[in-house]
Amino acid sequence: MDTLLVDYFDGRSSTPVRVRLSVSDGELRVRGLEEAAPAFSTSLRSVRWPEYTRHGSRIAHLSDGGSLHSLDSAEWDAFVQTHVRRQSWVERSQQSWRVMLISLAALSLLAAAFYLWGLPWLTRSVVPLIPRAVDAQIGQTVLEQLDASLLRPSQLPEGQRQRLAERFEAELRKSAESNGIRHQLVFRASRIGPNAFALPDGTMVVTDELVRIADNEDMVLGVLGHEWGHVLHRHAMRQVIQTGAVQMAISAAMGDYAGVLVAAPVILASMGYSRDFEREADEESLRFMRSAGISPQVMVRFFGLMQERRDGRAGGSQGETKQDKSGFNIGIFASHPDDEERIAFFRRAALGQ
Amino acid sequence: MQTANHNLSPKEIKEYPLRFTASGSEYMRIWVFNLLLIIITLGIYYPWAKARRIRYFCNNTELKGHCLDFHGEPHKMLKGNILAGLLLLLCSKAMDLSGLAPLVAVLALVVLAPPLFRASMQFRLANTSWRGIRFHFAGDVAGAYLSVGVIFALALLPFGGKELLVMMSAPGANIGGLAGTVPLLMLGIVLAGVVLVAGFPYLLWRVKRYQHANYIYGALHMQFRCSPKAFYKVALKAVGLSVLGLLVLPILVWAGFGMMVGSMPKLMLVVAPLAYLSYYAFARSYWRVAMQNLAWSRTGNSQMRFVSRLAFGEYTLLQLRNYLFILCTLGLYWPFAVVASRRMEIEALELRVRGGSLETLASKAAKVADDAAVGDAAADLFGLDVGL
Repeated sequence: MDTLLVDYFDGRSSTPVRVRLSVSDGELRVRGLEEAAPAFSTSLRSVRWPEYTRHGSRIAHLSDGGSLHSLDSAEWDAFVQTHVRRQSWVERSQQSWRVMLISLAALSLLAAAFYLWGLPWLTRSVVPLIPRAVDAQIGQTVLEQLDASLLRPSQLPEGQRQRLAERFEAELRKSAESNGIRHQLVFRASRIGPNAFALPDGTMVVTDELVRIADNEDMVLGVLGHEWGHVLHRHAMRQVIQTGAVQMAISAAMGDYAGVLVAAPVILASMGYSRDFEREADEESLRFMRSAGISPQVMVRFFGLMQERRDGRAGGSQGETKQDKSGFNIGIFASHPDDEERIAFFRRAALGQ
Repeated sequence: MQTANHNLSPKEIKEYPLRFTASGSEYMRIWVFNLLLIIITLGIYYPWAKARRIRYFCNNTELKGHCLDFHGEPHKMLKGNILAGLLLLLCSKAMDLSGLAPLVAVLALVVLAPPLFRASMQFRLANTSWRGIRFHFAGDVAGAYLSVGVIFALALLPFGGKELLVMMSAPGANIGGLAGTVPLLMLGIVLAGVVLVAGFPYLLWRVKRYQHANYIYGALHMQFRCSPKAFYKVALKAVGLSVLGLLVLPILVWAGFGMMVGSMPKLMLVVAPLAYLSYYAFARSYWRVAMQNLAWSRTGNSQMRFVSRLAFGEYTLLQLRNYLFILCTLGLYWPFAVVASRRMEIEALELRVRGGSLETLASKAAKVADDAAVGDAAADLFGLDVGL
C-alpha cells in the first residue's frame, strides 16, 4: 500500500475531508482529493500514531491539532506497518494470547506470594509502628454487646476465680514481654458453652463452662496462654490490615464489580489468615505452659474433652474430628486448623519434653 | 421532550444511534498485560494503563461513522493520581484519630472535593473529542460547591463533628464556653442526616444538572430539562426494590436454620452473598438503568437531544450473568462483563437532531485550556461518575 485514503479533520470544523496519505523522506504528505482541498506535508515524527488494536477506529494526531481517521482498518494497518513503524513490543503483547497466559500465570504467582508471605511480612513490620492503643478501637463495644446478649455474670466461686486470675498473672509476669501490655482476665457464664476468646484491647474472656469441663487449673491456663497469644501478637489488628489489603487489591482490579465479588475472597483470605494466627497462638500457649511448668499433654486432653462433648451432643458419631457438626468448619472454610493438627502439635511437644 | 408550540413533522427529526464495537477477548488481553505491568512497577504504570483503557473504549464508540477519541496524557495523570491518593490516605487516617483531627479531615474533603470534581469533569471532557472537535465542561466552581459540596457536607460533617462533640460533652469540659451548645449541635447532626436522606434525590438532581447542563461540544451547549420529581420517583422505586431484596433474607435465614447450630457467622457466609446479589442484581440494576434513561433522555437543546432506552429486564439479566461468570472464573470473565455492560449502555443511546442533519450543526471549536490532570485521579478514587 503506497497511499492511504483517510478522513482528515482540522480540529476546527467537524466536517471530514477525504485525503490521500503518502510517505517519502520522513515526511507525511497529505493531499486532498478535490481542487480546493488541503494539501500539506508534515514530518513523520511529529505525527502521533495510535497504538494498534484490532477493534476500534484508528486516529492519528497531527501536531497542529488536526487528526486523521481511518476508513479501512486493514489498509491503515498495512500502510503503517510498511511506511511508518512496526508494532512495538507492548502492542504485540497486548494482542498475543500466549503473552496473556504467561501474564496470568505470573500474576497468579505474584498474588499467591503476596498473600502467603508478602502481606503477612508487611503487616508484621508495620504493626509495631502502630500504638497498641489503636488496637483497642477495633470492636470497642464488643464486650458490652456480648454482656447484653450472650454472656452473663460468672457463677464460679469467687475463690476459684481469684486463684486462677492470680496464677495467670503470676505466670505472665515471668516473661518480660507482658510488661506494659494492657490485659485483663474476666469470667462469664454463657450458653455458648465452654469457650475462651481475646479482645483486641487485651481483655480475655473465659466461660464458666470451660473452667468446669477442665480436669484442672493447668488445663484452663493452657487455654489462657493461647488467648494471651492473640493479645501479645496483636492478631486482631493484623487480621484487619491483611483482610483490608486483600479487599483493596480486588477492588482495584475489578472496579464496579468489586462490591459483591470481594466478599468471598476476603472471607476466604480472612479464614486463611485466621488459621495462621491460631497456630501462632497455639505456639504461644506452648511457651506459656512450659514457663509455668505445665505439660502440653493437658491441651491434648482438652481437645479430647471438647470432642467428647461434641460427640455426646450430636448423638455419638465417633471419630469424625475433621468435620465440625455445624457444617462449615471444614477445609478452606475453617477458621481454626483441624483439631487433629492441633492435637498433634501439642502431643509432639509433650513427647519432646 | 418537545416544546409545546412546535409543529413538527416526524421526518424533520433524524436519528443517529451509537455503536460500541469493543471486543471482550481483546480487552482481556489488554487488561491482563496492563495489570501485570502495574504490579511490576508497584502501581506507577497505572495512569498509562488507564489512559489506554479509556482510549480503547472511546475508539470503539461510534457515532455516524466516526469514533470518539481520548487525548489524556498519562504523565500528567500520574501527578494527579499521587496527589489524590495522598489526600485520601491522610483524610482516612485522620478519621481514626480523636479530637479535632476528624473534623479537620472532613472540612478538608468538603472544601477540596467540589473543585476536584469539577477539575475531573473538565479533564475528561476536554480530553475527549469527536471528529476532531473537543468537548468542554462549562461548570463553575460555585456550581460545584452548591451541588457536590452540599452532599459531602451533609454526609461527612456528622462524622467529623462526632469526636469534637465527645470531647465537648465530657463532664467538666467547657471549651471556649461552648458547652451549652452541645445539644444544639447534636440536633444539627440529626437534622443533617434527615435532610440528606429525604433530600437525596433532589441533591442528586442538582449534581446531574450541574454535569449535564454544562456539557459542550464545540459551540453546542446542552441543557438538562428534568425536574427533581422524576428523581424522587426513581429513588422511591429503587428503595422499594431494595426492601424487596432484603425481605428475601429472612426467608433464607429461616430455610437455612436447619443447617446450622448456633453459628451465625457461618450462616452469614451463605446468606450474605445471596442477599447482596439480590440487592445488587435488582435494585442496583434498576437504579443504573433508570438514572441513565432519565439523565440522558433529558439532555439536549433546541436542535438536538439524546434518547436513552436501556431496558431493565435485559440489563438485569446481563448483570446476573456477569456476576455468575465472574464468580465461576474467579474474576477472569471481568473484561467480558465490562465490555458487554458498556455495549448495552452505549447502544441504548441515540442522538436526535431536529431540523437538519448532524453535519449541519455548528461546530466551531472552543479553545479550551488544558486543565490539570489532578481532577481525573480524584474522580477515580472518590468513585465519582464522570459523564458517559
